[in-house]
Amino acid sequence: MIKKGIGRQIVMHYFIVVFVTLFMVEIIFSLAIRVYYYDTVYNHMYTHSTWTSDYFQKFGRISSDRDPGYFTEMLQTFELDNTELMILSRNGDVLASSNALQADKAVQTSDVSQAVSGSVGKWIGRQPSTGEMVMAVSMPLMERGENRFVVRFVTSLERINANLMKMTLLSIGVCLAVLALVTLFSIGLANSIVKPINNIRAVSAHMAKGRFDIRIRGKYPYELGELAETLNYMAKEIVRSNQIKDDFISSISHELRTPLTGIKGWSETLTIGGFDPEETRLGIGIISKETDRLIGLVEEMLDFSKLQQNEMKLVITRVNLKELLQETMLNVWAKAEQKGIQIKLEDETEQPVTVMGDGNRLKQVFLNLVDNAIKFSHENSWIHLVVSLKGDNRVLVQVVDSGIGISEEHLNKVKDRFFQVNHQGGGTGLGLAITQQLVELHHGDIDLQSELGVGTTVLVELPLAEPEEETGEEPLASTEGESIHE
Amino acid sequence: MRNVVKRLFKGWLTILAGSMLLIVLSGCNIIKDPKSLMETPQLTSDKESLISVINAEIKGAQKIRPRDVNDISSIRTIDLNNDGIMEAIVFYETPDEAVRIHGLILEYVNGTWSAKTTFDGEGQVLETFALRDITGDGRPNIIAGFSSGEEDAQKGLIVYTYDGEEINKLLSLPYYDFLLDDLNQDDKLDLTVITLKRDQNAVVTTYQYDETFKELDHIELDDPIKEYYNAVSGNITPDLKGIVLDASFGSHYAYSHMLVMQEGKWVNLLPSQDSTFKNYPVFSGDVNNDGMLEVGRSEKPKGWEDKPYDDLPLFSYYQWDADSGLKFVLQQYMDPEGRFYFSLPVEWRDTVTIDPKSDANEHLWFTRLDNGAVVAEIRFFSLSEWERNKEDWELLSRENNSVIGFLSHTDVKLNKGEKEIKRTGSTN
Repeated sequence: MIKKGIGRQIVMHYFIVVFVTLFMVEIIFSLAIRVYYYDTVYNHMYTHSTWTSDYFQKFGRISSDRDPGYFTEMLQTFELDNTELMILSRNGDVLASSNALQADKAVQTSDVSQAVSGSVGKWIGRQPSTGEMVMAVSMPLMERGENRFVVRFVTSLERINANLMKMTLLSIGVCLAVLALVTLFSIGLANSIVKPINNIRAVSAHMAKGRFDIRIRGKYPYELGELAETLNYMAKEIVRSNQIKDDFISSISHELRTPLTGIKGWSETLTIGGFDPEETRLGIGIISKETDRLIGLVEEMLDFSKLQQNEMKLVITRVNLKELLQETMLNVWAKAEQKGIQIKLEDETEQPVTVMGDGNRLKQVFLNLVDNAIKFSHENSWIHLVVSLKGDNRVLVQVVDSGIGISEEHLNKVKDRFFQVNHQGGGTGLGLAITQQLVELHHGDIDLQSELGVGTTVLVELPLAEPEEETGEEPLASTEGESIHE
Repeated sequence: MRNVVKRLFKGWLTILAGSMLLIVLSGCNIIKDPKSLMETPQLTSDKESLISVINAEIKGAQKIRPRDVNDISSIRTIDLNNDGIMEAIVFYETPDEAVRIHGLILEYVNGTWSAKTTFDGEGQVLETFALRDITGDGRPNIIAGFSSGEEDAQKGLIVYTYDGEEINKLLSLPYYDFLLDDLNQDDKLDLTVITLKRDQNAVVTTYQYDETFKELDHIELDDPIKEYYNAVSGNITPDLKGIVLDASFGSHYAYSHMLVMQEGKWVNLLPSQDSTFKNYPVFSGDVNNDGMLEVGRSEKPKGWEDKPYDDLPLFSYYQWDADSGLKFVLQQYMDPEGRFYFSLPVEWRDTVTIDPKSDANEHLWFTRLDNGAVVAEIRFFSLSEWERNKEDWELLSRENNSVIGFLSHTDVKLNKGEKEIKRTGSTN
């Protein structure tokens, strides 16, 4: 049949649903038709017996006794085609019957006892003598205010049952035909779902083997379309991140080579140059500077790998953020002065701002940001550090510059590892990635707003520290009196 | 995949086409009127074959049922000649032949019925048809009563015997009514035949079979009447058996004869008609099921002496006591229109009467004779009235648009289980 898979499953589901539905409908239909047939027969006998007994009680003979024609007339009155008519006594003895023979024994079925108790009785069962399925309807016949006789009609249900059987078989046949039809339909429907899935599966299998250059073609509806798009996007991203990694390796090699070239050159020069003290001092100075640059580079990478592997340990204390920013400004003062850049702290709060965090790491964050701002600012421009409080106990620090700005297409990528807008600028491209991770470790958010040629604003949001309790320990990174009392 | 689908398609198509064909071929007449599918239940194959053999044998003639309430079946099966083989007897009529009624005997040999012999009946109508061993030889006799079908004609009684080969008539007598009983208590059935000459007299003759039918005794009754509406036989006293005949005269008056057989001779216990006079045709018989016959009478309740005789009678039943004559047994009130009956407790016999202000179609009061206190009431209610009163009253009978209730003021309970004493009881 159909090979294993979603297609078969869908067809099976259709099949099961339709089968169960049809099965139930079939059962209900069979029962209903049976009830209809039986009820019609019952009603036929019931109405006949009702009106005849009514008639007989009104206009028939008054008494059975000493009236030799009583039962004969009764049989004539009550006679109903295709039934056996019996007149029974209260204890079920057959007093008269439309068949010519003497009855063998008393009738003891439930319809008779019901009739004796005064209501119309109905019984469906097998005749004890012949085993034939029959329906019997018994009716009490009143004589002088008393149930004296029971009029019993018996009809055979064999032909009705045979007809019911025929109808049931036929309806089963129809149901099977419908089932077959629906199954055919479901195969078609299943194909419409299975084909795209198979397509996508085949392409993704290629992708798994490393072929990221192929794409899923064709338009698919709904979830399948989304799935195809996602797979295509994923392949594209894999290609891109590979590219970034390659760029990184080339740039880091370059970064490492530049100081190493300097160190090697100078050490050779010094060795050859006969150790002139003036020259030696200059050379050693340069070697030391280049070594510092190498150490800085390696430390940055160490930080990054620590962050990557979640091994960065923070020493959490209370940190006075404004003090920290002022220290940061002092640290970059010299560098800013060189480019003639003015750095200014704009305090929009009225009380000290304290956050929980690692003072050194936070300082690294802001140093990095301000350093970046200086790097990308024009000479004789300005940089503003804006501190403000936001709702729900958060503080917002904005580093605003009027530098070169970042184009929209790069804005989303600057936080990525190894990304550099301009590879000639030097650096690893890890700075902002590290910064972001550090801010996130402090449960903060970092965001970038920028316009090319106008300037960049970096927004850092950090949660405020819980107000210190009066008896609490003195925070390590804040001086007395500056702790927050709210 | 496509090939699989194609192959499937082919298979399904075959099934589909087959089903459609099935519908087309049988769909037209599958839904039928349930009534048209009704059938007379089958008889057992024995009976079926018996009927078909009979139908073949009588060649289109009509099987006849006796005009006899005791058994109106037309085919009887019995071992007629006591040979261990079942015989079937059926009467049938051939309206165009000189002999109208015929009998047919069939025998059941080796699983099949076959006709053995036919015999002729008499008259136009089969009145009764009984199978009893009256000769005492272990072989049931066919006792058949024939008539011309006219109202007041004398009927003819014939007793047949069957010896396995042919039918012989043992007795042929005119009769008005007959009773089969062992009246002389010799452990052999005897036949008591009543002949009636309308408006003149009647003779009751008892025959005993001894080689031939011999008359035991007969008694002449001076009854200038039109009919005996009831004749029963049984114990008159614990020792003696006899018959009770209920004779009607006038519009609805009646009286009874009580005859007892003493040492093979008839004795008329009640030569006078006065002691059993009734203004309704009350049926005598064993009304209290004690094995002895009671004779019925109608009586005026006390306090009704100045009213017409046929207003509101009570029916009383008496047994014969060898020393004191008729002895009261029980009493019953019966609705004149037969809507209900009420058996009066025996202790009410001389203490309670029906209040004269009672109306048989509305309200009956049963009151004590000494202080006039009401002990019970029977009342007719309309259906709506009954709804209001059914808490207190017991249901006696329900008519088309009225309900009859019973209310007891003492501990007398309405006993529906009590046997109705038949005003129009049958002979059996």
